[in-house]
Amino acid sequence: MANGIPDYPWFGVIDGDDIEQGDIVENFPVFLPPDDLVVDAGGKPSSTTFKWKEQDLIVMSQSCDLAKGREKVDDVLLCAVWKRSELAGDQHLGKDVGMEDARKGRLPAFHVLADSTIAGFEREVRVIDFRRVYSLPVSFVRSRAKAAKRLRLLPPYREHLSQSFARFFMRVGLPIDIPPFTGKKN
Amino acid sequence: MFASTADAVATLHIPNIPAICMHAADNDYMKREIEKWLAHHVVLLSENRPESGILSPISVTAQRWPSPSKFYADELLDWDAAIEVAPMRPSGTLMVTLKYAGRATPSPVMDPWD
Repeated sequence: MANGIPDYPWFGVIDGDDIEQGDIVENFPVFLPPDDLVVDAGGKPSSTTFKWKEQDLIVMSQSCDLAKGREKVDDVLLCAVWKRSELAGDQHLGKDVGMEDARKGRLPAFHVLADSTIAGFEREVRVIDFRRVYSLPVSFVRSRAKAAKRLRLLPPYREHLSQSFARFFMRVGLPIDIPPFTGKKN
Repeated sequence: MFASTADAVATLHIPNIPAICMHAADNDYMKREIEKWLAHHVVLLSENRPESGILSPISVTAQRWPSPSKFYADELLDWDAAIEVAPMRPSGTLMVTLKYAGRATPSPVMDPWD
């Protein structure tokens, strides 16, 4: 606390398998079925090959749905998290103007996280990509998460993230949009 | 004849109050009845009679409604309805071979304001 203003840290360090919304799990496996996947319910066992990749993820499921022993969901909803350096080659987010758009909330599909200066958990600015959504079994996420300490996004930044995700998900495209006001000759 | 007929009809329409209406009966019939009902009611309400429960609001409530659920403090707003038994779905066995494909890479981002 400084000058009577309470500190509101962005992150805390969490240990164990108690997962909550805002937990960031790094180098987590995600499984990608092939485009030509064919499944036959009730038939002979079929075989296929899934690619799996490592991905930094953030838990989007509500914490109350993940309460240990009282889970209300079978799967955890997670979104991709990119380091800013991983976006360096992007034509929009690779530029400051693009990151500024994201920071201001002008890109509904993205949400910017501050950097972390916690000793041992120093991380650069990161961007959550709501276009990449994964679900993994709760028990699987628990067993993987407890293997190492992790950062947890703290309130009110966690609620800010949740609200951003809701805004992205509830977008409505208008069939007839209002023409832009730019370029008008007054 | 007409006069006697009128007298007969008039006589028929004169009510014999004590005979047809207990309110006006002799010997304070209604008062005695009310006192009897009241005494019976008091007996019903006495605690040592099982009938007393009939008129007890607490007992009636307990009989009509199940016991209130017990809530924990952190569950007061936990009103979500969980599906305890998942509905049946077609299922089968898929043998999956996992192939590592490296670290994920971001998808291109277009500037939506262009």
